[in-house]
Amino acid sequence: MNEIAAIKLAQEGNKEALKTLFEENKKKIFSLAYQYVKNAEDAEDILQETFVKVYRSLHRFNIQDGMSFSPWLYRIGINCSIDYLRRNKIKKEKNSGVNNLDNISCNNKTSDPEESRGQKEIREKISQSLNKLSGQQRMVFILRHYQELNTKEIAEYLNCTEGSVKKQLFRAVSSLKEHLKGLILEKSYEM
Amino acid sequence: MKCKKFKEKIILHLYGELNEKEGAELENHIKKCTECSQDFLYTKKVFKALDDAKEEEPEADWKKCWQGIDTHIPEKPHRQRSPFLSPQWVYAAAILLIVFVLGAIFGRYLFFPAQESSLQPVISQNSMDLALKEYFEEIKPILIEYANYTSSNGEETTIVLDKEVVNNLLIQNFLLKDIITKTNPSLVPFMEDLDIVLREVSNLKRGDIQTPSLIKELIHEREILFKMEILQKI
Repeated sequence: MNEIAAIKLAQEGNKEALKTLFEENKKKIFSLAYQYVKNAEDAEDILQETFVKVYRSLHRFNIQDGMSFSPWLYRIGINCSIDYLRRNKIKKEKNSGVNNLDNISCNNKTSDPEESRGQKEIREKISQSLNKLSGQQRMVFILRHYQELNTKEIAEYLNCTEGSVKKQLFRAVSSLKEHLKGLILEKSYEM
Repeated sequence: MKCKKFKEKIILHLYGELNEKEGAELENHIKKCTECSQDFLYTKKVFKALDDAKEEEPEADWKKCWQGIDTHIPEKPHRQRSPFLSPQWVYAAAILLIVFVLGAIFGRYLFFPAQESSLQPVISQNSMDLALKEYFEEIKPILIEYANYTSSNGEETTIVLDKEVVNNLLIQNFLLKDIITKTNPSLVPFMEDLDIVLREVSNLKRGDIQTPSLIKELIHEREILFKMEILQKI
């Protein structure tokens, strides 16, 4: 089943067609949500919320107008992620240290215990720094750095100007630079 | 100030977002400016650290995710509805209509209390007088005919009248009387006298020699022509 056919069927209430759209896009939305909330369970919740919203608002998606499904879905995913974090901010702040450390130990790439400890520290600092950013700044950074979207695309997704995206990106990176200063200079990263 | 602008550009340059000209301008500045040069190197290190610290994303429980979605979406097919038919529009339209009607009602009594009479036919005194005069001009010849009904030698004359004309005069009388009741009630008895005369004339049958005499008596008794003369002069 191609994407357009799946969209049309899903618009008529066909759950199997929605499942097809889910299968094709689940990884992209999960990845975005995970980068944003840094927690697999929360990212799964965001993924579910995104597709429930997609199903409910699919009647507004007009194929004839030349709308592309992927950016439309991505925009819903972005909004769901920002909303989710805003709703759970207090809860997240309470548990962030524990969750992040748990994730880090689970997804550790290196086998060297010394290096592992160093990366753990950096990840923790990155996580703390990202937690201090506003939802929008955090999203701009995630979309630029991890999702590799350019500032023009980010502006379209977030419905703001490119200039505003650049400013928020500068603030986010500056904040990270400030937080990581001691660690990076200490370790003298090789270029 | 100038360096702040370049520091912003350093980040965009590392993301590959500067065009050739902007990139060259930045690189020239970095060569000359120690602070920006250090910032450039440090930002590069931060980016590398971010990449190195990038975690492998865990695999989600896709089955559980789909089940979660499936339980939250309605069973019935999703129907496309026109936004104009959605309940919100209906409620909004109904509320607006109620507000408009109430506003019109209260507004009318609050701001234009005297306007109630404006719903009645608006006829000025002058036009009323004119209408009455015209009416009297029309009816007068008939009344004179009946007032002079008996000939000088005692023989009864025949009065030929168009019944349609009489009926029209009756209708006019009815309408004028209705207005006069509100504007000049003192004239109502006179109009009623005219009404009786016209009805008698209208009901006259061929060969009836008694009724014209009664009409004549009525005209004289009620001084209809005399009153009409005075009213026409006023």
